Amino acid sequence: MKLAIADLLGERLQGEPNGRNAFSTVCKALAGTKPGELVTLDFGGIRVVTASWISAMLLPLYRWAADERTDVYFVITNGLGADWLDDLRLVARFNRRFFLVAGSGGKATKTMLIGALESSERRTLELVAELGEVTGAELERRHPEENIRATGWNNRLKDLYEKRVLRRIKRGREQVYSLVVGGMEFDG
Amino acid sequence: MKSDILCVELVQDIQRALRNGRPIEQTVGGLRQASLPGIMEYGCLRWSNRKIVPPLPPAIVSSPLGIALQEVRSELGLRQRGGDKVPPRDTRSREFEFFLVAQEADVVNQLFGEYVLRFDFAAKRIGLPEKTADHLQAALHEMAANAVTHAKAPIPALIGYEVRGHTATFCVVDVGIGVLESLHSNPAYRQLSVHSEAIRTALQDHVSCVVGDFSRGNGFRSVFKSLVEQYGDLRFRSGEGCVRMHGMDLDADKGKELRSLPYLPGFQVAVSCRTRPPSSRRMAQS
Repeated sequence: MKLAIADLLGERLQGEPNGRNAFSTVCKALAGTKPGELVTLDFGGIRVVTASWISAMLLPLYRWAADERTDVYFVITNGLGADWLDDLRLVARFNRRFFLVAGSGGKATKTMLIGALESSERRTLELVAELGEVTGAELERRHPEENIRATGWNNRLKDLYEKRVLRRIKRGREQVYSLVVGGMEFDG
Repeated sequence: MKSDILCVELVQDIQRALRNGRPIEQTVGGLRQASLPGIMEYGCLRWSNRKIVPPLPPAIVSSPLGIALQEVRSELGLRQRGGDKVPPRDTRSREFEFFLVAQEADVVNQLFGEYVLRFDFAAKRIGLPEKTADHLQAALHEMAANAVTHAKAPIPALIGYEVRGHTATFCVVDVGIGVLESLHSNPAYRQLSVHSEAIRTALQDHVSCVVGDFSRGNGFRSVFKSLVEQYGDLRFRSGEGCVRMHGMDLDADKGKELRSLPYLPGFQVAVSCRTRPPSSRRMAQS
């Protein structure tokens, strides 16, 4: 599903009160999504985005999306190189959140993970990228040199799932995790 | 107090005179012009000392700025009686325009959106680059939202803009609890006791009156974005403090800080951008 944000909310996304209104508007627009669905938030044509709007709109939206009954994932498009990317970084860093942002980087389109990754989060994402689909038990078995038990891996995977960076499906009795989008680059 | 221009420095001088028991009637009566920040801070001063601060003289009331201010009915302005005028429903840019916001619904209202758009168009009309005008209107929006969220003012906040010559200016003034008291509701900032320090603290990212909520306190970022472009000039006044910044620096530790000003309730913000460097004379008349 693709949401054209400028069509839905206008081209100036500013202020905390507007952000709160936008949150409810976008939730309504996403009412028909199915669990596991990837939603593209298209920021093309947006002139202004402020940090207070991001905090009031995107943070609760991502929390709402992480509810198991909703379980929607987001990629923000037309964001890389935008003037407001620094504001997004700031909100992500202070709130320990991540945003997947796609745009053109040079000749190719790329997806960047915006937010400050801790070394443990980065390592987990690298291993998920390497293996494609993983469980905590599998990470323990394949990487004994990391000296982390399955429960530890599961905690890390679950945290990244709740932050909408990893997808999760139930297969039998196992929770299987994979990247929301392949080939993501880390921001800094 | 020899100036016949009502600027913010003269408002401070008038306040000092009041504090020291000196007469101010002659000074106020001799005023011939007013700057936007000056007339709006004078409105706050008059609101808090209505019995002893005289109304502005006809020369200012009948000036284009005075006429524009009379369009809104506000205890901080020039007209306290009569009906509320409906703002224009177009996006034609104007030199001066004022708006009142009392609650959050007012800043998500379409009328306010159109008001901000008119400011944006006016700023572009005098030659400010699109990005600068975008940041400037975003800063106005953020400061208005800030006022209705944090000021706890007994009357609506007054917003004004002036776009003339090479300069686009906006001001947001309220007579609420002020920055220091607002931050005191967060225990992390309860040690603050100086108004100007409270202003500096509030200017930093993610500083909020709400305990532990790092998703808030971002409103000043847009203001700083407009500062770094086009010879920006910021002034924040609250209580007995004032912080003023010019030019090309995002660092809130820089800039001129004034402590121990005569007390003015609430929070007053003025932000300007120019298409060319300010002359020293124009700076002095802000």
